[in-house]
Amino acid sequence: MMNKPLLTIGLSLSLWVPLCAQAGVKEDFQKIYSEAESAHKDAGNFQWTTTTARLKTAESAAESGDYEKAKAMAAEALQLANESVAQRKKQAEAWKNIAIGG
Amino acid sequence: MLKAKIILVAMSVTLATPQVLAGATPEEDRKEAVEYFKQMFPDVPLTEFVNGQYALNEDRRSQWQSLQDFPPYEFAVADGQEMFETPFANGKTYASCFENDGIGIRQNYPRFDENKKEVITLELAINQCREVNGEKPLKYKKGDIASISAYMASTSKGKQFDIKVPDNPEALAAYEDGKEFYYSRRGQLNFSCAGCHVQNPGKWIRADLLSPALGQPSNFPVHRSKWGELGTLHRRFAGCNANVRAEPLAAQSEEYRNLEYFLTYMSNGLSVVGPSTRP
Amino acid sequence: MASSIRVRAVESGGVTSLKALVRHPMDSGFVKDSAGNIVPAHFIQVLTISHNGKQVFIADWGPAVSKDPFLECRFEGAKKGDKLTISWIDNKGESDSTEATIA
Repeated sequence: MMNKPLLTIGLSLSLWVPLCAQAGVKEDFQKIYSEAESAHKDAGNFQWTTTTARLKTAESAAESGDYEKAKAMAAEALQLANESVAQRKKQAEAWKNIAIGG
Repeated sequence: MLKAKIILVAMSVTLATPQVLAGATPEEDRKEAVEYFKQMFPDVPLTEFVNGQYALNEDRRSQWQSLQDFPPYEFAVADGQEMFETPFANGKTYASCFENDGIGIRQNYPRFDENKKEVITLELAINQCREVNGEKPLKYKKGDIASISAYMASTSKGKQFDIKVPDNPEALAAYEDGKEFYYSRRGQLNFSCAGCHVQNPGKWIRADLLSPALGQPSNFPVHRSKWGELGTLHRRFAGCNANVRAEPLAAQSEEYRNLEYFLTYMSNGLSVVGPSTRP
Repeated sequence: MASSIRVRAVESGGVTSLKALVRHPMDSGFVKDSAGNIVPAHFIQVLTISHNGKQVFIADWGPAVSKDPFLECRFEGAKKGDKLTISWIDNKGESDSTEATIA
């Protein structure tokens, strides 16, 4: 019958699109998470506990399949991590301004 | 805060000229710090700074003094003495690793090891002694290490800290590293150690009274009511860092050892009063 | 074995001041260890101080009192050189007792 291949294509398409959307969020999460992780590492001795906590929340959301939440948490982690890196860079010189003995 | 800034500016104006030629030495830093805190707390005798908040608040001081008949760390120090005197499996004791058999030496730590090119704290030396004698190292924040360190500190009560920064680049770098750590803002709350303990001692932070940086390491290991037990200086470093939402570093990590080196040097001339009690 | 009670009693102006530090875990029974298991309740239930056979101080302690309790109290009617007995009994039926001379 002529309709069978169409039906198959139609069915596959209808299944594939939401899977793709989900896969899109998952990929986004993974990308943002790995950026957050590497920024967190870049902070060196200036890492924040809140960054670590957000990364953990993102990871467990991902493990339970909630990639929307995981992505949102990873995004927060990335922002916190970037701020901590900025702090490290700024403090490299700023500490001298308040030090007794200069 | 403003008063502190005025004092700092005044200090830097009066001392600016001699320092133009070279960076401040540790001894110059220390003298300037002593002057700074003397001006900030003119009624506190220099020797009293080792008692932290108890030098600044009468009510807290009297509560603390009533505890001194039976300090809560007494049992831990007795345990520490027993552990210190008990031989290892190989028959040797801690006495074999330290000068003067480990008695009355707290005031010399931390010291800079010129061979290993690193800062050796008392707790690190205790574990090095264990490892050299085939024993497993102890964890660094609490428990047995704190008891042994507290016992050793108790044998030095009243002796003046005498930390040396030898005139070589590595020792000076370690000192400078500790100094940089102390004055750098960290954590999401963006506080430096100095923000509280240099710029705002004597002020309340929630229900805690901030102690000045001068003399701070003198009373460690410390029995904190909050902990219900003894804890080491590095335990406190980690706790303070976490309080400002900065990831704590590992106890006895290079950074914390350098920090202890800098802080204890600042307290040279002040007495060992550890172990002690704090809220 | 060393006593779990360290005590000092001083009389002045008719009033005896007593300070004591008692070594005891005072586990409430609500705290878990690192493995997740409840640390069983083990706390002093009653502590008494006796002078010449008469109880001058009774403390009904329990799980709310923390580890190694510190006690301070004052009472009248005793004089220097008198003997005091301090004893405690805990929820496991364990007990300890010590004598102190008033200074």
